[in-house]
Amino acid sequence: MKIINELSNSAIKNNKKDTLATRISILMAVILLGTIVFIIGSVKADNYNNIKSMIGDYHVSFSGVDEEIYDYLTAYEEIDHIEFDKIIETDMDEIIYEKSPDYWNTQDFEIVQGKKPSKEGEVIVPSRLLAKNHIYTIGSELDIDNTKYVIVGEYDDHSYSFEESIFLGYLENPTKENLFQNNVGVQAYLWYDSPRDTYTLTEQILNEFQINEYEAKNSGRLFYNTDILEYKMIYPSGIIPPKSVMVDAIETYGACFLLTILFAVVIYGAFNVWNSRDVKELALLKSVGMTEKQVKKMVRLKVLRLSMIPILGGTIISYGVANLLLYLFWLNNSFSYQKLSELFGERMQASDFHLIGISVPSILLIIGLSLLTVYFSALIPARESAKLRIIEGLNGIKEKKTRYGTSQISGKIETSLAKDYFRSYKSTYRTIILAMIISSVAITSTLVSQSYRALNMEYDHFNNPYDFTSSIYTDSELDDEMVSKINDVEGIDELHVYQHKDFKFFLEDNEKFISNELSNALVDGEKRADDMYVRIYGLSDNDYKNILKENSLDNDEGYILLNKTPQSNFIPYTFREYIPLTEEDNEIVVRYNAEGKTMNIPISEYIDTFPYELDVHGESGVYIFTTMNKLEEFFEENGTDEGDPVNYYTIQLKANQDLAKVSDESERIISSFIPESDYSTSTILLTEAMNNEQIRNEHLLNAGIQIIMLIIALSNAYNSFHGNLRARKREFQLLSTIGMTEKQIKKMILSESRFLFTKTFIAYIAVFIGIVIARVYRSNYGFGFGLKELLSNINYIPIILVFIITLLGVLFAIRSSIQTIFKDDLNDTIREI
Amino acid sequence: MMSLVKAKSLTKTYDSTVSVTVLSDVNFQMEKGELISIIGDSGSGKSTFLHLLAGVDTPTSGDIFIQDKNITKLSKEDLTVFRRRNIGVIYQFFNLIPNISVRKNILLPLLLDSRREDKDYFNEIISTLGIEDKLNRYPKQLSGGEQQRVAIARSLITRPAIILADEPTGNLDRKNSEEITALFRLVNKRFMSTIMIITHDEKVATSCDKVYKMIDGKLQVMEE
Repeated sequence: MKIINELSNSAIKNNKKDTLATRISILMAVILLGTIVFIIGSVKADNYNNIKSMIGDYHVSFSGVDEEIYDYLTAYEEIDHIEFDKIIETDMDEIIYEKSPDYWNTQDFEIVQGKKPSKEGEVIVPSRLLAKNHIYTIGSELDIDNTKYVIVGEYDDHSYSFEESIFLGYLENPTKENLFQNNVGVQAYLWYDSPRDTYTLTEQILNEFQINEYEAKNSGRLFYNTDILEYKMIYPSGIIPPKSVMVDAIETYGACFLLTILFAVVIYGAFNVWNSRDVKELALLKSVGMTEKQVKKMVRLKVLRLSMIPILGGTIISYGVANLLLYLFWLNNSFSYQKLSELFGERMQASDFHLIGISVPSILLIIGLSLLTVYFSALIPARESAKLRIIEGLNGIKEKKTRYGTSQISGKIETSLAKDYFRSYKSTYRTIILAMIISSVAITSTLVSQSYRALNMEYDHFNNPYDFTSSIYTDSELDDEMVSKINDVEGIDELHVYQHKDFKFFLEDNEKFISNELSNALVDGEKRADDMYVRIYGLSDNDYKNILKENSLDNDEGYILLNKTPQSNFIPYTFREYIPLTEEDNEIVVRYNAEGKTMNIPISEYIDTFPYELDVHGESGVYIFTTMNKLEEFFEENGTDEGDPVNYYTIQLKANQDLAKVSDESERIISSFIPESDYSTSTILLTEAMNNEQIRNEHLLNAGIQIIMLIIALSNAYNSFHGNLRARKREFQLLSTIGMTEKQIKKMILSESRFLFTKTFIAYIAVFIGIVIARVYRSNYGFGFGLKELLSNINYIPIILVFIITLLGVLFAIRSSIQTIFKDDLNDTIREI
Repeated sequence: MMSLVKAKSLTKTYDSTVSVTVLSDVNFQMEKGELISIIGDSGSGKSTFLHLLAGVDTPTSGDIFIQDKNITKLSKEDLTVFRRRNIGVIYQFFNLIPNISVRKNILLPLLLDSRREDKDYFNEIISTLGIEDKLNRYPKQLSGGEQQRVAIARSLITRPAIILADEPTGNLDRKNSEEITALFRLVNKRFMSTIMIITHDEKVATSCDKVYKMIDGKLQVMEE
């Protein structure tokens, strides 16, 4: 109806100050919401695109495809398309993967020089192969199983030097005849017609060939492209996301949700104040025949008209803000990478900065969410306006029963009047308090999480006592000469060199082994059998002998069990209590994998202290110590782990002088024996530097959150308080006619704001305690201890800042409103009376 | 006898798009204990005149003396304090502060001045106006007539030099209107209050000692 349109339009045009204040509130809220949506959308889309460009967007892949499976898959109606890899093992140390044309559109490989294959017979090879075998160069021809290949490029494969080289070739002809020629492996990549059916259809296919899904997944034969599937909200249980996805969603969208609620509260507050002011006008309109429906429509139209410009403007501005923030993060990361590159002595680089792609779903989400929020925020004021009784609107007398408190006469009149007014405007003040609390909650949650992390670092963290740790990965034994040279480095106080190997521990293999206490803990759910594993350390002869000596043991060369495990997996590291693993049964059974053979390890001795604090005592770990020689003998007897044939060695040392020099010297020796790709080192200096870098990043992130929350707190406090005071202009002027001076009115308003802050503070304290208690309750710490530690570690400055800035916003609003109110001629109001 | 209220050559002109002279060279004086009324058509300038006397509006030219104090020369702050001590104002609507009790509404001018009430005087006012049992109520819990009684009580509480009432019966039915008019007379006699009533109602006007008529911004005495 045209008249409703005109009336809603004129309400906006004739109330320029209210229009501006409400539009600013909406604009601020949309900017914040939009920024979050754009950033989350960009991060998710980048992640999706990254996965897609790296490995492709297939739904599931599985290897070990034979001709029968091939026939079944190619005839399967619900598969949209399939791609295959042809895997060719050679007599040399190389494997050739002939990849389908689509693979060559991904960025899974990093060409160092040359070009990528574009036809059958062309391959690219790892750089390390060309470096090791100078007979090969780009353009070299290879004859493998009577097939000729030409090297057209080299790529960086980031593998260990001793691993097989993978040649990547071009599969032009994915026919059955070609794929299964020469007895090779075939891997299939499937795209289903309906990705949502990925899990059910794959299960059907596997069942058809009696392949166990769990085992296939564990052995790596089956791979669901979960990142791609989860991006499309496809989960193993249909639309119900698994816990990890839920936790991720809560963390990701929690802030978004909180901001939307804040948005709704702020907008509701603005509309409510405006509508209370327009009550007389609405009553007049109803008195000339406007129906409830028309009033509702007018209010809703007013709201939509009011919000369109700030929503569109806010969406555009938020795109800019999101890009600016991401640019700042990128700049910070580049700076961090540069610093870390200097620390580690190798080039680390942040990926290039790119503008957020203009995503239609993100824009629609922002606009839709904003419109919905604005619409719902306007529903209550619209309903109240529609229900307004004409006589109540005209003479301001409500027939509805109102609850009055006691109107005190004693005490300062400004304070007692402030109490009366605070009570009358409790609904407006409640909205202001709610908005202030929500902005404080966001910042408090961040600070509590930070404090909790600090608590974990202090009490749920293994402090490695060594100044230098180097992890070495090799397919052979460690060179004795290298160890002896490190031994000779001046300034080393304590040095340990050891090898370790992890094994599967199955409860059914070890029913006799486990102690009653462990058995009870497993039954009570304090420990999980599924997580348990065995790690055998092969120590140097000296270290091993020292263990025997320190523990008064006499077995020359056997297996010593650290016979203890944390009583519960849910107790922080420092407060753990331990229970024995076994009641001294002398045999433990391990396997390399679920299907692998069982291997018995005879335990000869038992200890109850982790030797030399070599490693973290994992909550599910079973630790056995022997000599390196004995461990080698074990491998000789039982064979090596085909799934993980790498030998893991560790060198740890404590320095008694110039740590930097000792570290440099030790690393120099290691690098002269071990290729760069096969070892990594960390020193206490590097760890400290990295921690500092992390702290700097956290501070930056916190500063960002604080600035956002401060802007919200300031603008909301100013807008809502200013709006409320302007709505009360008549009241102040009536008080003035009775003889209340400007100074007294100011004092009264200040008293009201004092009540507001006291109530907000009390509410905040309650919410703060709630957040802290929830965090402690969900933690593994004792309640009293966790509470005390958490409270003493919280950085209170940002919270205080939010309150100070909000207070300033309110004071500024009081100052500016009083100036506006008393600038107007008192007589104008009297005329309205 | 010295005049309690004196207006000299009062002129009020509003300059918006066109200049409108609402009051033109008005001279007026009132003695202590007088009860007068001013009648006139809508827009004749009678309410403007009352607002100038109440100090809520300022004249374009001319002076207003209340108890020999030229209120046109006072600062905003001083004028407010002067008003609460010396002038009681009653309006047709919107007289009372809705969120405070009747007792507090009546005592408000005193409380704002950090003064205590004279209990006997307070009791006398409320018994004269018949609102003894309404003190703990809130304005919204009163009828229009009762609200106006409270407004009169509030205007009396500071023993002001003058009470200015702008259409005090305009919103009331005939019965209430007559009661309020009678109350003004009673207050005038019992407390020796000086009262000026602006009204449309001839019955109200003629109940006063003197009646003035405002015609196009000029004030004329109609009858005594």
